[in-house]
Amino acid sequence: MSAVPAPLDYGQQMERQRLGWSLLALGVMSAPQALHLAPWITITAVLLALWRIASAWRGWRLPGRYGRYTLALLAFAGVLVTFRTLNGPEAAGALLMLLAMLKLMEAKGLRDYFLLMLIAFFLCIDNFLYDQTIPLALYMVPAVWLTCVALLNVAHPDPERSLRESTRSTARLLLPALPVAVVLFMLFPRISGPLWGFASIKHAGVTGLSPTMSPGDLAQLAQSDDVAFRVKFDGAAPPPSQLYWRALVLHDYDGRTWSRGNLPWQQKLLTSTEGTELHYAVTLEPSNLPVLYALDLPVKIPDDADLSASYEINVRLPVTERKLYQVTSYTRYSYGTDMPGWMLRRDLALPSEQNPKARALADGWRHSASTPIQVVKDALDMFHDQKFFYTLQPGQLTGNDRVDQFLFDARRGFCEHYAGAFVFLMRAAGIPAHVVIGYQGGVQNPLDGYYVVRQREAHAWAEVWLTGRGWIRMDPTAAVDPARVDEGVGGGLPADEVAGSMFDIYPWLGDLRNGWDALDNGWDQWVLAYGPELQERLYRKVGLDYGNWLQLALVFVALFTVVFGLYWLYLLWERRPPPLLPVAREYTRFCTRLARLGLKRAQHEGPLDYARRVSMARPDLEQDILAITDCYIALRYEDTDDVKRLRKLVRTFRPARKLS
Amino acid sequence: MFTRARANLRRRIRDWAWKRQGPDGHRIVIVQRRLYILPTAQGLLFGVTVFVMLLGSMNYANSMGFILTFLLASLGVVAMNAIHANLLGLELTPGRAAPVFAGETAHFHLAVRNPGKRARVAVTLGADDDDRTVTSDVPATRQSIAPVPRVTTHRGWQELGRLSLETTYPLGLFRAWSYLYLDWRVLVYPAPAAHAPALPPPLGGRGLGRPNDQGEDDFSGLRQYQRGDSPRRIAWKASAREQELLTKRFTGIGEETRWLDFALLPGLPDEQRLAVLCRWVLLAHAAGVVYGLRLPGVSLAPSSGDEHRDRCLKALALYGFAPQGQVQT
Repeated sequence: MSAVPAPLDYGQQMERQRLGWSLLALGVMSAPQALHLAPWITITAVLLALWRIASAWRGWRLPGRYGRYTLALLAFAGVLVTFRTLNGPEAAGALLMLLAMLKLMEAKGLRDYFLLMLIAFFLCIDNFLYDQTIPLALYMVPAVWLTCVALLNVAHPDPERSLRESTRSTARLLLPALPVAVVLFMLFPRISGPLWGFASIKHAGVTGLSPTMSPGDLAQLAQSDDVAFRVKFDGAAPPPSQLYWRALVLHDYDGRTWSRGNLPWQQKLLTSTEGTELHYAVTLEPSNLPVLYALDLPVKIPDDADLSASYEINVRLPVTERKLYQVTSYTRYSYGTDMPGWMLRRDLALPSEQNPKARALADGWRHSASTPIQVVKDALDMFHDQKFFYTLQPGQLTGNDRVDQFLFDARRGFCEHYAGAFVFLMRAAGIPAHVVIGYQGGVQNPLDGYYVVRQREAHAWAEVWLTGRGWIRMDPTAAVDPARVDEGVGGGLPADEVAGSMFDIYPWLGDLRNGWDALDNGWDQWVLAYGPELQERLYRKVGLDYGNWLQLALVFVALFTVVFGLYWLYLLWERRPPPLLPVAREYTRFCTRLARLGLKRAQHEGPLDYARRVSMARPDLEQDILAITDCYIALRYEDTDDVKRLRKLVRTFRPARKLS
Repeated sequence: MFTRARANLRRRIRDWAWKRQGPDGHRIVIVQRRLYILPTAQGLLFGVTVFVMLLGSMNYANSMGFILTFLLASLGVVAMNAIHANLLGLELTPGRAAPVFAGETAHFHLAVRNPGKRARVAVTLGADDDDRTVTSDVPATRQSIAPVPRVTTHRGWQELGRLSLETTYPLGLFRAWSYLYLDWRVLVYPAPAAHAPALPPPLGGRGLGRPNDQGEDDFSGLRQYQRGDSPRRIAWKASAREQELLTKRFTGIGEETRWLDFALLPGLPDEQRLAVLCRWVLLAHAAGVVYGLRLPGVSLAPSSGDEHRDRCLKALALYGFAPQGQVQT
């Protein structure tokens, strides 16, 4: 016998088709995830897939039942060791991928492959837990389409069906489904908050503020063009010099690092505000911090957040997903005039026996000045008048007396150096003070009007407490270099430190970035952040009561009836019998007239037989009948096209009911 | 237990459908009234999956998850419509159902016409009492012939019974089906006996049997060719002259004329006798001899050819079932 392989029978071809398509779907859906997973998982999945392919096309042996059980156990163990849990999107995604490949090892018939297709859709949704950006969404459009094509071919394998045919058939199903899905997305009642535990994804490498401040931290951020948050003001925006976005207040200093210290008190302090209210919405990028950012000074915050005594907006969990919230602020305010002494003590504490020179300087100011405000002024004057430099490359500070080192030797620093040194001096002079970190500035995108605040705009400043006036913001960096506050972070820096930004070199690149940013922001605002709040607004706009479930249900039923009714009519219209040719139509009319006389044409009867029979029954009509039949036959089977004559004959054919 | 409940449900649906539909005429158009649809097991699983996806999207407040979930949900509904429409409007007309021997599979050829502008894909037809089905595609405005298989068990007329027309295309999430109650039957010949005695010897002498006017002894003239005439008896030369096929006629007592007689097989049960007779008819036909068939109350004059064979087989098939007058036609 020669080694010619036997031709595949139809069933084998169908199985191969199912295998190929489900592998393709699983591959397409797990590809974006493979980037996040541990390498061994991706490699194992690929190897298993290759093994399966080799078995189908090269006749390799597949693992037996016990082999598969062993592999499944190994997969569970591996995932458990890697993720320390089987719960959560990462572990579940990895496990799903491995088990899908193992299922593929024994898959046979419609049921198994159908299950694999459902797993492919689960993998798709698992991707969205990591990433919901526009690029992934764009990738998913053809990917979902392809998976649906695979579903079609898995459910109805046909080796003779062309790729073109199956993609088109699937498109015909997806296109009517898409608008319905969009309507459902907008109207389907959402609930806020998780249903069960929320195993969040750890965003490795999120750039942003850290809950502590040591010299050098913010300077690092100044290199980052990542968006920290976006703001949409309801009315006019305040001038740039007032765009101080408060994030955290740092009370404790250990000689090296400023930190928040113990949990902030929930003390309600006396606050008075002046001027106009500022309403705005913030879209915060994941920050991994349990605080929201707001313009100084926030008075109205989201319901699920708490305001601390230092006006930080605390939330229960670190922000790991993009978050949209509304805030009301006043830029003219005073707060904390009734600050009790035991709270102020915290903002006066300093590590003992450090920085003697700075302490001496502060002591000198305290003795010479008549009022505390004079001390503050002296300090700011020092930063302004003496040779201090605002720079991203301040050099290292070491040892125990870092403030001394900075104030008297180095004199080069970024905002955190100035804010830290300033607060140290104030406390040494007996004035309560603390460091505030957050962002300063923001650039309006001309395309959509949003203010974009980037990580490079991270900033640190100080607040001092004066009797009768409460807490007052003091920005020593502005004293060193006013351009930092007026023109943004690039304004204050030496030219050679900002020239690196390619957006300044190529203005069109900036436009491009604005365009992309507006698009990305629109995506965030209208798609990703779409939740109960936006939905309620939409409902109110179209005059629906969000809380009224009966009304909602009725609206949904009505909507579905209309949409699918229309689709149904379309299907009926598509399946209507083709219109009769004019010739056939006239002849049918002729037959109908005769049928009314009780001379119905039988299914099997040809025109000639029919004419003969009818003429016999009604000899009086013979002339007309023969004329019409001849004319019809000539039109149908001979090369004539005188439809008009037939029409005229039929129109004038009005047979009497009774034989005359 | 589960399967029994399912079988029970199926039977109830069946009875209900029969009650509301009644028997069908010659040509059937699949209209909405007679078209049913329910989710398949896959469809139910799909529904559960979409629901779990909805819960997941709610839990994570994941917009893209919502979009995928809603897309799949509406895809399911669209597929339901498409599956229903895959059968809607089809026209079915019974065609040929050739006789078979008992135990063989009869094929009822059903013409499925698609008057619409979209091809109908994976349309399956099957008889109720037969697990086998036939699946075919029907291109737009075309017709395809589906041979519906039906197992036969015993001779006589075999009713087709109820036919199911069904599809799960596209996506297999739903099954749409329609029941056809066609008044359609196929003739089933007796199964030829596997071991039959040799053909009875030709009968010599005029006295025995009926006088035979179509023996093969003496040439007596020509007549028009009839379907079933043996090619060996065609007068080729004369046919060429006359421009039509002519068959030679013979008279005389056939040396070869044999009577296949029910009475020749005493001691056997009736069905076995019929089986042997059936085998004899086939043997005689294959040997090209002239033969007649005699059953109690039925007598077919000796002859030969396909038509004669079919007449004989039909008589065997219907022996004892139908009034004699009908058998002889």
